[in-house]
Amino acid sequence: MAEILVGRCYRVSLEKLRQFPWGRYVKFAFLFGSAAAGGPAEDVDIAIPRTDLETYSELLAELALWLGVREDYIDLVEVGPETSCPLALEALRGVPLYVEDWDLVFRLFNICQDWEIDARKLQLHETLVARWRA
Amino acid sequence: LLKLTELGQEVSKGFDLNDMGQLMKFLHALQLQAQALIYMAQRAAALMGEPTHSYAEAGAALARRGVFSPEDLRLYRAVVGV
Repeated sequence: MAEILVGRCYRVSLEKLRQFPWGRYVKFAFLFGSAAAGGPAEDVDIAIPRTDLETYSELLAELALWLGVREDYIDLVEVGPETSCPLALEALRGVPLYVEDWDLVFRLFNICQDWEIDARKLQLHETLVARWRA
Repeated sequence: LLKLTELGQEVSKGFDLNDMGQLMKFLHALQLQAQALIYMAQRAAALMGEPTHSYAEAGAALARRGVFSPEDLRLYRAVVGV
């Protein structure tokens, strides 16, 4: 996967994504969604840790400039303890672009993986369906 | 539940957390309690027809339904670690 076609008009290089100075803004960044599968993609989904609005805006603007794409084509998804587990798991199973703090990644990932196992063990989905049918 | 009752009795007897054996025993018991609380919250939310996608959401759903008071929710969130 050398390049990803984004929004039918931009070509984004995975190498260039990796070379972005992520460390100035966040402790990890993961490419996920259809772009991580090689594209084509409507936008570039990137998981980052929870951050303040100023850092988020600056990161988005700088990344768009770096890649030469419009900001609308970049979706920075914040992943934290409150993020829904299916989303957190999908995001953190993506392509690591930058990781400064694996402990933070594992903490977020492992809790959600436990949640996934518990949901199966406690038959939560089956219970919900039965409840809705009743 | 029997184990949790036994834990209460053990705590009442007094303990020494500098004793590694006792420390591990109480840590294990606390972990079991935390897990039981989380399981109950998840099952209860599902039984009430509330889809939840994280441990934290199960607590929020029970608070919305009036099962958890604000204080219960605060304690639950502390146990979950959010």
